[in-house]
Amino acid sequence: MMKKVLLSILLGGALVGTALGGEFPRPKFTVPYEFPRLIAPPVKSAAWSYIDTAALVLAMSVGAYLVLKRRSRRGVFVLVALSLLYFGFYRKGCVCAIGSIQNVAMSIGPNGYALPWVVAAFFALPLIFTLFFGRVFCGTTCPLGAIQDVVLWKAVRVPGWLEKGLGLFPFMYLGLAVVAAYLGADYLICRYDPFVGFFRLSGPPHMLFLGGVLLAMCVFVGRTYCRFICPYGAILRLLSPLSRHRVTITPKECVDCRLCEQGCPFGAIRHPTPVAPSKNKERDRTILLASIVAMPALVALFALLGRLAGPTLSGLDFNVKLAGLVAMEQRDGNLRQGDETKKFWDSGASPEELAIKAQDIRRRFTVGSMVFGAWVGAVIGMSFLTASIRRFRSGYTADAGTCVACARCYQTCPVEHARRTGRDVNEIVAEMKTSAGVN
Amino acid sequence: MPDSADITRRDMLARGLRIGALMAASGVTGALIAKGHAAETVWQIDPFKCIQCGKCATNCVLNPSAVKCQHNAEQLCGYCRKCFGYFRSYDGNKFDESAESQMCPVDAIERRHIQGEHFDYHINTARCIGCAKCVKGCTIDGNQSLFLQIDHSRCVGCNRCSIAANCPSQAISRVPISQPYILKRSRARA
Amino acid sequence: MPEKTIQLPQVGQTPVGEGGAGCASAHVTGSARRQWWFAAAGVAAVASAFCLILAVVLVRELLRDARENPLAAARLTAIDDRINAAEKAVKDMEAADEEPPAAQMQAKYAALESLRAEYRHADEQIRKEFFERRRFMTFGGWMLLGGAIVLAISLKTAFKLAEEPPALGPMDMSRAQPARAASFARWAVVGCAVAAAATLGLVVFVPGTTPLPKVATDRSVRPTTDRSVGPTTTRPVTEDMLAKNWIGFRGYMGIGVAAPRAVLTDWDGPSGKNILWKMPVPLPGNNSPIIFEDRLFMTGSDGLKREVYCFDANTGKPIWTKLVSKTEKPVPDEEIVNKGTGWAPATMATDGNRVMAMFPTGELVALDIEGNELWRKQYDVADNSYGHASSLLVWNNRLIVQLDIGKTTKTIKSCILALDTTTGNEIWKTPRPVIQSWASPIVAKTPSGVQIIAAGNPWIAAYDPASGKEIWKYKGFGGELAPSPGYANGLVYMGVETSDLLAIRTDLKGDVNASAVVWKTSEAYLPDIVSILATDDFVFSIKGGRIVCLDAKTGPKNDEPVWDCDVSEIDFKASPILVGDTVFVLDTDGVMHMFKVNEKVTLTKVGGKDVSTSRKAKLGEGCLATPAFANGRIYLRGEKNLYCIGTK
Repeated sequence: MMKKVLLSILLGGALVGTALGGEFPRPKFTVPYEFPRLIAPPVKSAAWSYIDTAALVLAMSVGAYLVLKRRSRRGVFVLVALSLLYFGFYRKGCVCAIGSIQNVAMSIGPNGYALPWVVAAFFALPLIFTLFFGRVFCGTTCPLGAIQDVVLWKAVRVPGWLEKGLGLFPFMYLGLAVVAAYLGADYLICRYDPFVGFFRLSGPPHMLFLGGVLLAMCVFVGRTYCRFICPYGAILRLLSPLSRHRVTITPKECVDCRLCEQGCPFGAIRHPTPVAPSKNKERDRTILLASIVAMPALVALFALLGRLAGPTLSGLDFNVKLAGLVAMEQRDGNLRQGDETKKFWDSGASPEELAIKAQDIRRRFTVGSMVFGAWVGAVIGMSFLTASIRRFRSGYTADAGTCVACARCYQTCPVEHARRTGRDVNEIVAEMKTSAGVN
Repeated sequence: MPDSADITRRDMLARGLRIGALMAASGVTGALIAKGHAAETVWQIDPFKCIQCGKCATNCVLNPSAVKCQHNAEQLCGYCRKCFGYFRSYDGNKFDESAESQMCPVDAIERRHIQGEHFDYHINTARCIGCAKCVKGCTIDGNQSLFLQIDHSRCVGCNRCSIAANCPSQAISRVPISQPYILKRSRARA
Repeated sequence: MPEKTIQLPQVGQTPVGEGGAGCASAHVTGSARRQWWFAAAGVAAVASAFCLILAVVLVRELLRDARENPLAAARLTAIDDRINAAEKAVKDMEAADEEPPAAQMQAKYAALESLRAEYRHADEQIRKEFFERRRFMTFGGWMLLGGAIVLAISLKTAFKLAEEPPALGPMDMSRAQPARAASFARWAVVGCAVAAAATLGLVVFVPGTTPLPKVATDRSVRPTTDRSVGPTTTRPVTEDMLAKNWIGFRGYMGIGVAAPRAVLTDWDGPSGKNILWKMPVPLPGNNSPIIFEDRLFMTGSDGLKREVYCFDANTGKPIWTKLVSKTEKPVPDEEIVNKGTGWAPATMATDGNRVMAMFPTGELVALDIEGNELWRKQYDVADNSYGHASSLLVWNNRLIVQLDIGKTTKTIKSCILALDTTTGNEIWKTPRPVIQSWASPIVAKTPSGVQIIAAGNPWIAAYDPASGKEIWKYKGFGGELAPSPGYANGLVYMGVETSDLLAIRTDLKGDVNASAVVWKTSEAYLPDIVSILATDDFVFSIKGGRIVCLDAKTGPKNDEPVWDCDVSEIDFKASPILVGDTVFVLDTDGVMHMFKVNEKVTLTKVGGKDVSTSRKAKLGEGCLATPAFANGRIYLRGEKNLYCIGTK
């Protein structure tokens, strides 16, 4: 008010009267003038929800057809490129199945969040497709998978043990993302999405950099994000072994050429196991038993760790952060820490009430973090257990969990080659041996 | 080497689990959609909570930001010659209408003389970067006719709206998609 | 399609159509294969160089874009500084006594003009560059994408062509060691578990956890015990007794309305007419006397000693004096207590059995009517420009203390609290987001319940007397806030100069800024010291020598008050009091101005001087304290003497 009065005085007599009243009155024009109406900017059409869902179903159906029926790598490649262009660059990566996990978790949570049907569709449809056709979503539709797939030029084989160890991370990330979204703290998956910045051709510099590094890695380590980070991939990895149809290596006519195993950039093809039984059955049994017994202990240990980490993690929440800043400013009256606390003090809200609210949130975080810890313990325990279980395979098979249905193995397989060209398998193999200098 | 009976048993188990998983996935999703039958939502700025900090310009995943300045010329603008949203804040004895006094960093405000001491101001949304400089000037010293809104023809609708997460006054929240804008029609909340 | 590039004519046997690159490449003859590899590698090298350079440039532009504000460019600010200097030179020249030669003037004007032109030119250029950069960034993004695609295709082709032919034939089963692989995998899992535990452990011990203030989880308000009968010396006190007496600043409820009773309007200090008694005031103070039955209490202080005095209300005989505290140096500092406020500005309050006094030292003391100390509190010394001055208020055996002592709203030192008058126990304490103020709290008996209302800068807020819970608040006051609010008929009236005078509804809840204002004015007559007096029909706002009467329901109509009387020679500091239908206002010279509530006071000329048409009575000495009215008498605290006006 004071400022306004001063201003008006400085600006000259004409304005003083009006400014004292608080605002400058709307003028009355004698020249023809139409006051522009306040019109809300347009909204994107709701049709996009339908178009996106239809595109998703179409891409996955065509993908399933190409992978399972046509067994065509070239077709899959075209589809991958189209998916990348549509879901990635055209739709800018938003509404994606990976992120939808968080929306689902949040809508279950206490924040009263309503799940839009299109997000629900993006969450559920790939799951359902996976239960029928394996991970065709990962291999053909997902834009994040697609961008990694098209840059995969020189696949390096990751040792089995490393694959197993790093393969735990997606499950832990899934747990963290679900807990964070459930509590309404953050959408971690979206925040740390490495490729969405490329789709939007802009983004926070650190994420663009991280995305660039990851993409460069994908040139050599096929689909690094899918295998070692993606939380949706973790879910699909569990569901895919239940699927009705999935990628199969021609089991009847297999010529044991090993080409598929070498051709798979994701280490998803398992070679046959020796028929001879294990020499040390007693030891195997002990380890198996020990890993079953260790499970509850692991769960308890990690739950405790999670509980202890809860207060720190609660710092993700705005109210907790604000309460901390406010408390600091209360202790030191001269401290100024930015707009957040300024706005808080201006609003006249009670710091005590904020502190109580923050403590409630912190309590919820502690519980959430404990649940997350227990989940991590369970994942480690289960993984230890499965590492101790041996399965017998008589021929080359695509691992149901890790295979992303990219159809590369079809391309290397001489049997598939023969099927496509109508030539004799043995002839092709012999030819290949000659050119490779193998006798 | 597994025998045929084993295979059948495993297949049976897989089928059972598959059907279970299918029912679970569709059941949970269906239940959640049904539970949240409340309207779908989009992000929006509450102009009455906005403190014009300028973070909308730098924190949106889009560049330029999807946040744009809106102008209620119809109800709130005073058509001032010396517009506090258009010219830089009054600074000692220096206040003129020359180019050096203009505030908008991207020339997104178009000024047109109407009559006498009165000018019309129009926001060129294609240029506007949502920096809130003009909104701040108009809110503190003027008629409060300028305000920020997320332009839903541009917003990509991120799950985690970056400007919402960075808003110091928590002015950005989800609003029903049927009413995606909070237009400022009066100086105080109606 | 990378596969296309290797469909060579030389490769006769290569299967057509869906020829797998993996198989096909194995058939390409050596030299042709090398040539194609060179071509692909060359394209890849060019493409990667292109992408790299473009990426670096884009990142640079991106960073610049994020960092630089085109309007604050160094080029512009430099010119701006020069313009400022040139403007100053022109101004100095214009202000100079002697007019400089015309040529010199012209040169200075021209210099300024050319600088302005330079600025405009630079501004235009910078903006042009800005948009150019924006365009380049968008375009560059797409270029980079195109480059990346070319790079992808060429690199893929190169890799394919350089690929070693795969090893063929069945695996050597004797070399497969499943047990060893399982053991490796288990160790990997163990390693992963250790890493996970370490990460969680790090999070536990990370120093970034913001400590939250400790808050009691149980926030239920302490049950209030209604002690009508306290320790030894207490006697039953009814509300009616409290209302008839003068128990605090501006009387019962603190709204400046005395119990309706006929009082004298005719006295004369110098001649002693109708002066019942007159007693010297021991130590100075601007607080008003309070009266309960036959005793009068007030405080005094010279900065070093703080005392409470008890007088016989009927005779003026001093009964006791209680020294509350003594210091070597004046508290607050002499420099900050100005003469107007003094060291004993706060009026006492009584519940009938106990009297409470507060001083700017932060001392709050409760005495029984014999002067024995019952309890004592020490609050922070107000960090403000005049010293704490808010008067005390008693309601329902509770002492309400408005402690608006924060320098900024951030520290939340300000609060309002209720103490049990018997024990001094804190019943409730509610923080107030306000800075320093000197206003006193009032009690408003609104249709929706009793409220304690306290005005502050910037909020005025109402509190539930039982729990202290905030009922409503309104933000809108600034400056040095000394007037206390008025209340009548469900509306609270508050005003202070530089802000607004307004009527606020009391039946709403929460932040009522948008909803509760019935009327509002920001005219020049808003009070700076004197409290607002509200009656059923009128609101009186007093500033300097000016009394303005406004319509209580509508405020000023067309900016016109009901009446406005400004006697420039006099000054009011004491607050107006309504007794029956008469308003009493005491000016600083000790002259009481009296007028009927519905009487229009105007100016007349008497001996060439402006005087108001109100009735007047003279005390004969300066007087700042608000008068007290009890038992049909008027008690006035002059600068030197305490007077009782009445008849025997």
